[in-house]
Amino acid sequence: MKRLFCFVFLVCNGFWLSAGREIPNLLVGQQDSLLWSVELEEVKVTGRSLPFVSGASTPIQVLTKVSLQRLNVLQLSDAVKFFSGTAVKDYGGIGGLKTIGVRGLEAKHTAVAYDGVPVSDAQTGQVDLGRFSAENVSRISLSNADGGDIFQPARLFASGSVLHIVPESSLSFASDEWHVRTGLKVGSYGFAEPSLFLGKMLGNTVGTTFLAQFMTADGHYPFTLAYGASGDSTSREKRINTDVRTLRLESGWNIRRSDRSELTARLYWYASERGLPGAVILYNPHSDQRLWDQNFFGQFRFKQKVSSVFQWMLNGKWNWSYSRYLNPSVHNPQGKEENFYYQREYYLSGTVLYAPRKDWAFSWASDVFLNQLSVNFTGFSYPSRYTWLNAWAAEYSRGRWLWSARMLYTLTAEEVRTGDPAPGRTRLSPSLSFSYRILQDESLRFRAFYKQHYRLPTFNDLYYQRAGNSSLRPEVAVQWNAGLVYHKVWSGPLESLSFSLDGYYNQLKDKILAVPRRNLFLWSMSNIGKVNVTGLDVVTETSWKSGGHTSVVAGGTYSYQRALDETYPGSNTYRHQIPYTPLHSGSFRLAVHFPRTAVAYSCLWSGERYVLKQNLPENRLPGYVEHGVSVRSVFGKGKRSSVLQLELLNFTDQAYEVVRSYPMPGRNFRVSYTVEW
Amino acid sequence: MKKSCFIWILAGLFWMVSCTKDDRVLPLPVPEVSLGLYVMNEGVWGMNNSMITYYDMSSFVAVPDFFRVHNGRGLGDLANDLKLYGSKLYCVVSGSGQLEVLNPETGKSLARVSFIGEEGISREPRAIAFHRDKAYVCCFDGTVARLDTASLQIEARVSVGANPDGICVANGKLYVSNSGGSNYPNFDNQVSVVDIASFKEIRRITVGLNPFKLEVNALNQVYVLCRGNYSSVGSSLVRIDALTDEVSAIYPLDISNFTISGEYLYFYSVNWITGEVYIRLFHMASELVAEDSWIADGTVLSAPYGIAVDKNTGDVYLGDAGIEYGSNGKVYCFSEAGILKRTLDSHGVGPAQIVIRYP
Repeated sequence: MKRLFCFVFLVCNGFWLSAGREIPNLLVGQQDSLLWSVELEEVKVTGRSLPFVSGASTPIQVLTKVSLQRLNVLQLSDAVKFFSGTAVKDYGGIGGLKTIGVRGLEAKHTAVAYDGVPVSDAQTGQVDLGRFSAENVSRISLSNADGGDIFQPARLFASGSVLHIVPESSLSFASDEWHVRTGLKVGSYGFAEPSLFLGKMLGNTVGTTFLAQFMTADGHYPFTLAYGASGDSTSREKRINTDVRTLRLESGWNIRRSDRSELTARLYWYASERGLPGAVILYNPHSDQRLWDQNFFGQFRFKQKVSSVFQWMLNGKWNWSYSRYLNPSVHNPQGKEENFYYQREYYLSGTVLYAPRKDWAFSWASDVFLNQLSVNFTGFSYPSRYTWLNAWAAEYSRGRWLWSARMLYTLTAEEVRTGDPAPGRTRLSPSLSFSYRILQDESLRFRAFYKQHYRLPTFNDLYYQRAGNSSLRPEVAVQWNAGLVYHKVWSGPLESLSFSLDGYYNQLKDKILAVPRRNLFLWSMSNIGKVNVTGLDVVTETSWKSGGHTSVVAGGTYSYQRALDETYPGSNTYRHQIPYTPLHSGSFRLAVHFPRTAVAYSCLWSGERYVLKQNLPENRLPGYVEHGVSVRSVFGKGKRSSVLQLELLNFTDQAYEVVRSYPMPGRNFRVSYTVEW
Repeated sequence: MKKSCFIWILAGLFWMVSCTKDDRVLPLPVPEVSLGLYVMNEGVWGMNNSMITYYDMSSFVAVPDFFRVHNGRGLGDLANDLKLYGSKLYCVVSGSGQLEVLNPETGKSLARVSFIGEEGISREPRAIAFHRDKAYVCCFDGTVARLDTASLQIEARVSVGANPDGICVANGKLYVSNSGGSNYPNFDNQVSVVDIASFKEIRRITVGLNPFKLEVNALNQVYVLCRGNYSSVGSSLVRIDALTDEVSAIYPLDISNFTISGEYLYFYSVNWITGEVYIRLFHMASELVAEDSWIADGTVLSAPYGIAVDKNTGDVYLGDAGIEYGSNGKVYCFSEAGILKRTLDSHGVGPAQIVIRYP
């Protein structure tokens, strides 16, 4: 039975089976070797099979497709909230921007990799996770620092943490028949999402997948508008101008001629139109701004294992994106503001891995890329940035020890059509990590890392009208981490237990902030910010089995983030908690699996946050707990099966905001029906 | 608490004795004591955190968020102007598209005048001026609205130039600065003159790029602050003779804001590259600018944001947005000689307008 994990899950009698085989939320080792090869031997996972990677020295949190289904997740941003140490900035509703900051570092320090290749936005420096659907994702993982693998593109070493999104691959399909999955999700606020997924192996060497997904929602969810503090007036309102429509077409290809080499390629097209509801403004409910987005990319990866000691990999990508912003009610002669932005990226990366001995491995990754931004308005600088990254890494594993060290060299050169280009930058940034196996049976490890990285100024930071400042330097971040990780699997009723506890200290210097220049009407970006973060991440998961047919999976996270602004000593914000970063937050999830039905509960909890830099009562956003519950049932037997899932989200109807003036939806539901054959 | 109540009652008595019930402002005798200080904090865009802080001027005890605590609702988003006229306090809230009229003593709202136009689009009211029993509100949509100060209803509107950002009354006319601020970088450079009697625009006077605040002195001279385009064209102060409606002087000054007090014009500017802040005096009759900073005791301000002079004592109040814009500001009170007398917490972000209540 050569089927991918998730399909085992979906095909009826694999349902409960897979539950017991739940991939732990946190991993002792690199997920590939640990997860896939142990449980599903037939599944050949590409990547090196060096034995010593199963003991990553940096924290990695993973959610698999099965876990995602239990978390009542529509967009990947919903899932990321269940990772410890994250702060997802969510502007509410399906169309609202959602970005992920990790451990007190904002979203611009988090890289997002789709199928192993970085997704980027040189204009804003952050990726909207709302545009990724959980539909065809096989797993997502969040790695702090460098992750557990030295064999990857240099760009994935260049940020504070990496969110990996791994879409479903075609390599898992049996025979050469079409594998079809089609479904419809409907829900509150005019939400509907039909999708079609096709996969097929063409002979033994070529596999292909297609995904078409359309989504529409009016998003007019009700909320309570507060006209002041608690005890003041409130009124019941509806969010307006929240409609969103997206279309996503995707195709993945795998060509594997032997176990030694593999080519994967992916084409991706995304188009959307949405209203931008904006902040809820007292006494002025008007909202009519709109945004259109299009994004196309093609990417490939070629991997070859030349010998038992040498592997190499080539990654490439061409990315084009377009966005059109319209504000149709501006008091200017045109009566509107309309901006078009076009971005292009050309990306090529080569990586070699040399493992001369069982205990030593070396890698060298070299990435070159070009980012360009053009617009429709005059006087813009039309920047082009050339970046060359080189990462040299070494990994040593012997006995109870695993050491990993890396040096990243960054070189940039910038060109503009008008104005001053940002000067070229060269930077060296090191990282070092190790893990030590405390117990003989691999279950308990100590791990620690140090990492320095630079965050290059975005095109908006450098060239934005009026506010841009082309002389900005990169932000400098230093991260320290030490922790314990425990993971053990048994054959009794208690199937597995995983636990990790990491303490960290992050320092951010030269943080790019908007400050007034010359007078308060004119602001500009400047390298003045300084933030120190002390935090703790706790992740735990356990699974239990009862009577062979029922299993229970429970997991939880807790995160403590004390992120203090140290920009201006003596100011009224000095050593205050930075905005939108809760001191305490966490999540909990529990799923009970019966042979044909699974019931899952999940909750997200966030302590209070501040919306401005000064930690005053009036700047406080109250904490919240959001609860969701779902029931999932599998029908049919054999080749054809169908799944019905009912989700009740925010069932306590908790009124809350993640971002001030952007209320979140209250109680709502989703129903999905999926047929697969 | 008891004490402040007592002071309140006392203040109320003072006010009742000294003020006519008519909204028309009669020439008042020179006031002897100042009763209260209203600090209007703009707040941060999208946060609905505009706030008025009230200070009783005998005790300097603050009532933060004065409007909300007395009305159970906030002022809204981006308050832009605050003026006291007759027995009413007027707060122009630009982001929320409204004018709040409140009782300056009790803080209770007397009327909430909406400036949401047809099609639901805000007219973006910016500033207010008064003449006899009417109030005039200029709006970014290129209009000036006339309100009756008794009925608090909008009676009429007149079109002026692009994006008016300041208004004042002189010689029976309204002077409205057409900033053109929504058409960056093509700012406007004119002041519209509206005849109050006919309520018609009668003239446009070319001043400097991006005109903003206007104030009139006792000689019917209107001073207009032109902000320039923030890069190639610098700021200037332009004088209009309201008798002839001609520009009678242009002073190329580095100026962010100003206010007129008697013979003098106080102005300040901030150099964000050097961080230097200066507050200087301009003698209007002799057209001389003092070379030295008016602050005599070396007090350092970080981001002056609003200015007002107590007509009674000659004290100068300066709102300071602080080095960390987005956090609460301060209000500095200086004596006429430029010596710091007291520092007050503005209890809000961006203390842009300061209003003093006299008996």
